[in-house]
Amino acid sequence: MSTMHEDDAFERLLGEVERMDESALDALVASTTASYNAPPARPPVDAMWAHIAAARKPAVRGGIHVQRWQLLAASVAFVAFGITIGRQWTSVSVHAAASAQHATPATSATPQPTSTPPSVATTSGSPAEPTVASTRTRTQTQVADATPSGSADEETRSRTSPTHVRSHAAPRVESSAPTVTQPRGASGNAAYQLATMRHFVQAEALLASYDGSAHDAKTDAQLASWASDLLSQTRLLLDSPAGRDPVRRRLLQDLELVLVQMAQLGPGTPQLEHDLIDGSVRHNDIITRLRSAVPAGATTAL
Amino acid sequence: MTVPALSTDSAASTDLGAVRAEREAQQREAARDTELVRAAVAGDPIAQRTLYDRHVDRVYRLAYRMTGDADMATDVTQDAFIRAFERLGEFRQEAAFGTWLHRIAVTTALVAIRSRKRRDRRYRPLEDAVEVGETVPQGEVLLREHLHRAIDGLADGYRTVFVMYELEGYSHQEIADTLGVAVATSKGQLFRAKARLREALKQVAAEVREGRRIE
Repeated sequence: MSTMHEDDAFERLLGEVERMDESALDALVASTTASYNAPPARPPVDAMWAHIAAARKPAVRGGIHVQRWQLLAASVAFVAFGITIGRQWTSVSVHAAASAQHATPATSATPQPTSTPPSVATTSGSPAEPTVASTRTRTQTQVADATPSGSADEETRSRTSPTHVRSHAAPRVESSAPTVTQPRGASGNAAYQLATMRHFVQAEALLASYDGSAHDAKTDAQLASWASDLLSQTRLLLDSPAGRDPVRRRLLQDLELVLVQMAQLGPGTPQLEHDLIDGSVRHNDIITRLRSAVPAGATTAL
Repeated sequence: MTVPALSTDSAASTDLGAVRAEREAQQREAARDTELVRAAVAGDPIAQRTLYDRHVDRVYRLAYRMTGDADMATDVTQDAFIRAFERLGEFRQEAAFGTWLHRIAVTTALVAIRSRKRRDRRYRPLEDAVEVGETVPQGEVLLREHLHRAIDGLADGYRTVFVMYELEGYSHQEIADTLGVAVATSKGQLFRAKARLREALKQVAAEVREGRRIE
């Protein structure tokens, strides 16, 4: 019975459709299409947000990309800086040898007392050989004991030694002396300076990557591991000649404090700890001091 | 004579007041979005979540209307927000954040629909097969199904405008801003979409009558 009524109603509807004007048809279309792809009353808001947050985590934090990029750039720059230092060292050696050769006539023009008798310098042939050999031995011994402060004296000794006086007679012996003695103390300082600058650049990268307001367990663990590595380097530098400079020492000590705090980050670290790290960085103005400790242009080289 | 004139004036002023109030509310909302966008660009996660909460319902509804599939609507909504947050730094505040976000959502939905169409085309023969025991819909259900198919068959531009205007209540200005077209284009596409649907309605009525006569 009801089916017959429905059929009749539909029949009437079809008849009306064929006679309808535009506005009536529009009204029918509107009422009929309201159910078209009708969305649910409540969308899965939290589930979608969880997906969005998970997809955006690296971009939001920005930490991991920056870390990898900075570490890669630092490694490449470190190698490049090492090559630059090596080339400079070689050029210094060549320059020292050349300057020593130029200095020889002046030294011989104003002879000074040496351990070798002057007569040996003027002699040629076999008697000169043992003298040259003993001079080389003494020079090498001095080199072994050389400190940066003693290098000037040694250079003076080398220049006034009979080896230089005999340069024309025995160029092989003469050229070896300044090449070995000259850059040793300078290279030690350069190595410490290089290590310190590299360390400061890495520490700056770590502190710049750290964001106290937004943190999660995984990133905190990575930061803690990184900070732990830098902490051991900081302590090594503090105990090395690089830590003798008072300004640098104080910076290394302040950095050590921050790194100790960051090395303890982990899952469940309270916000208070993050605030304390932020406070230490800001209060001691560490990032600015790190930047000013690295000479201009060295960052790109490192 | 005076009374009707007064009542007309008061009705007009009430309408104007309502329009003005609505516009002010929209401006307040846009200003709030602007603040939130600034904070979100600076990396504030609460601002990002607030922006999401303010717009997710409308974006999801539109995505669902356009795709007709819960999973696709979810994917489209997620992708739209992910893209919007990724490009938030490029957002120049020339349009409202909501409009900008909806533009991303519509583009994402259209791309998803096109890829689904390509996929469906491959499996069409199987899907079109009538299952054994499947009941043939009758009456108004049949009419509705035909109309829904007619909407599905509309060109993307017509269908988007129809869904946004007729089903989700967007204004032509909003549609124009979202789709990056003129208001007149939006109106024209809606007119053509409705004309197609009217034709489809008449056609299905004729087919049903014809079928009944044959029976």
